[in-house]
Amino acid sequence: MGDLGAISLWIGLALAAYSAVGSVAGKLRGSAALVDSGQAAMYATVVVLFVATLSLVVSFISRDFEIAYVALHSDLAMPDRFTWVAFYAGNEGSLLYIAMVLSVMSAIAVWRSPERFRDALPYTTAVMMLVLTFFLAVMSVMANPFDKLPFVPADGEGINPLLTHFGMFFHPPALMAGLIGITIPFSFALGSLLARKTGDEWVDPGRVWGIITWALLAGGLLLGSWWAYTILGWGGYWFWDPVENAAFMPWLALTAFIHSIMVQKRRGMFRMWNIALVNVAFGLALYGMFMNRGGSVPSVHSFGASTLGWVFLLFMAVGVIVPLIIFFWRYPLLKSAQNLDSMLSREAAFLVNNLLLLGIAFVTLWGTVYPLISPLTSGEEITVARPFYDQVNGPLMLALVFLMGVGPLLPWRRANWASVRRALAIPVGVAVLALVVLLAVGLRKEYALAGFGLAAFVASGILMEWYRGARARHRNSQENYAVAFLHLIWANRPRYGGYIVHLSVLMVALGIVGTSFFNTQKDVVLSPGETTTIENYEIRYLGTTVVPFSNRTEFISSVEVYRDGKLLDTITPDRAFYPDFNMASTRAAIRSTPVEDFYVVPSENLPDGDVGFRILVNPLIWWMWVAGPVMVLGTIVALWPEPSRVPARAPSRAPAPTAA
Amino acid sequence: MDGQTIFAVFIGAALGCFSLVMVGYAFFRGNEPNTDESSPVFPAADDGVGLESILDSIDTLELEHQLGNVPEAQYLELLESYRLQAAQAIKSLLESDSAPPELLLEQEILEARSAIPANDRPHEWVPCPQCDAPLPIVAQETHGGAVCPHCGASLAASPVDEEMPRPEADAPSQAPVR
Repeated sequence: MGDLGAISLWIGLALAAYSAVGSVAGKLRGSAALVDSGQAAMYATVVVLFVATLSLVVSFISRDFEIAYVALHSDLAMPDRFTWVAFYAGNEGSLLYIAMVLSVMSAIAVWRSPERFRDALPYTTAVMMLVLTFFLAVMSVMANPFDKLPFVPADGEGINPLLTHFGMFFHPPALMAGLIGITIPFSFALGSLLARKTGDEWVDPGRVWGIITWALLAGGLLLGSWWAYTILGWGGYWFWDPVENAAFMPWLALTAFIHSIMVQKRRGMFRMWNIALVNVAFGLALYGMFMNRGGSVPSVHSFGASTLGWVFLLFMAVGVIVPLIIFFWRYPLLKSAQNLDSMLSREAAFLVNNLLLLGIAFVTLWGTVYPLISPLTSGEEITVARPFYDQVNGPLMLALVFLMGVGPLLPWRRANWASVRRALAIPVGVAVLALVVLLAVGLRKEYALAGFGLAAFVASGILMEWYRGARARHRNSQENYAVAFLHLIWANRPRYGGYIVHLSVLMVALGIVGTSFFNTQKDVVLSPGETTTIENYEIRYLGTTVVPFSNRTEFISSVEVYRDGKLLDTITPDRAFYPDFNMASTRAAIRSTPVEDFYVVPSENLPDGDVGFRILVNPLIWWMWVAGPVMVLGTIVALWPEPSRVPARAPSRAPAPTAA
Repeated sequence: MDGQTIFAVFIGAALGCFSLVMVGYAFFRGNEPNTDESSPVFPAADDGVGLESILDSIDTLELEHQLGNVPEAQYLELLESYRLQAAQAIKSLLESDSAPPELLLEQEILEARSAIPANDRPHEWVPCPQCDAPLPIVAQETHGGAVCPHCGASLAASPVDEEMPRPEADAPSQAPVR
């Protein structure tokens, strides 16, 4: 199957390059046939790359170790279910995955593009296919997943143990799809600039694809945090690792974009700003891919042995500079249809929200690249870590949460102070009440108080909006409150989908505040039968069972958990050692409730049977993981298509037949 | 060549042929313009996007008003502004070659009604207090907060419906919530 995969890649490369060139040439020469042919080539890449993907999957399933990539990322002991993970476990396979996703997204985006965007579509197709051409060229020439070994080894090297986790089925593919998916809204923006369609034609597809890629990145980031929490054994979920940051930054830029694009959709404003934002998001996505593939900052996530760094750096430079030139070329045409009526309006709130998000992205970028810059300024490499991000990003994030509460309560165009006071009265009252209660129970940490107070403010604002809407509908249509509420959401899907997503962000914020300010950690070595206490928990270590497997040895510890003297559970955290990789991997045992997680992970198994445990009590982190499905639900509601209320246009009137 | 290689070459050749057919088909189907209305590739017909956007804005305004986020005076002012924009958008659509049949029909009905002399109009019709356009009474009875579709004037206090309660300042109206 390796030969077929390699042939498919070369055909795909030819098709993508032809599609890019043919689309633009057809447009410039006014040849509809050439434009159609270019688009057909783009659709054909989906089929061809599907065959390439299938070839690699079959090679993994049949353990075709003649293919170097298969030999490097699987072995005979690997369960078949990990084939999907092994597929993108290395550089070459992940590039194929990215190319496949981009070709599918491009085909759907072009197929579903609005008719009024048709003039610009050849340019948009060309941009998408140029990006695809780059990935296919890199694969075909430098990182071919179908390269063969000069001999056939008896067994492969096996899959990286850290990847044999449920979260790995979704975290890397979601993040990679999100990063490459930014190409789609970017292509619509660039296509409209090239076609001199500098109005709002690209707004609808740009918004839809912006939200889709935003959701993919958000899901990927959350799943990655969950994976780190459960398998890495340090009890945390976010390390401000350069590659984590590389996915976080485009997510921030996209968050800004999907808010400000609503202003353009609604008011015809922020045209320049939106194009600039989607360019920034694309540039940051390219930076993320560069970091993953041989970027200059070391990371646990990157493909360490990759030699592709300079290629991606070059691509990033082109991907940032060329759109910038096109942007300034079309700058005089990018005039907004409206001006900002008032700073006390939803548009203004979105603008401030955008500035805060970009501020956080810039701070994160600065922290990520500072180790590279510091030797030039101070003569030594200085790495910034969590305290830097907490101090600088923390207040910005709090301000962002505050705006998340205020923005939706402001009307479009302008508000007056009286209506703002009335709208904010209940949320502010609830926030003050929450603060009074928290102070009364003895909470004195300023940031935590601010976090909880703002969460109460935003949540009450959202719930109040829901209640008012449902009440109005109930009064007018006599529907009961539940039905009225569901109809309200269904009739205003983008708005109420956004509220649901805001609630999920609040859940994440609750988890961050809880674990950042109130977690308790204890590292202890226990002999069998020994006990230790943490907060009001007591644990008794019973002993360890050693289970040998063909590729690893597992050390499964049994631990009894008591709370207030009462046995809650017997949990079994384990630690596995993989001799081929000289690597240990852990599985934390977590007793999770909405109030707090009780977390135990064996950090070291000593020869005499003693075990070093890391024990944590993490308050409110449960909410962070529940936020994922809620976010998905909100995104689906927001994206669910609405039928057009404007009748479809009549077919063009055909010219009258001439008399014979 | 072993069996697997022959298989790969065979499928690869088939893929190549498929690609050539896909790419070449556009040149052999008679140079149809890719802006063909019936092309299934572009099923969405959304010429009325300007109108759609304005209707969205009106819906949002109605909702904001229901939720108490927009004061009455501002609500009426914005509503009138959006309705004027909508009227302009409809006019543009009607003047274009691709006006939807539904709009053309409505336009004909409106013109026919306007052509009826005021004295001959049936009793179900009353003039707008501001622009004298004919308005059906039933519309006012069904929609308490209705406004004249021609000039945007509020009909809440029109002579035909003295009993209708006038909306209180800054209070949400009773128009249906979307």
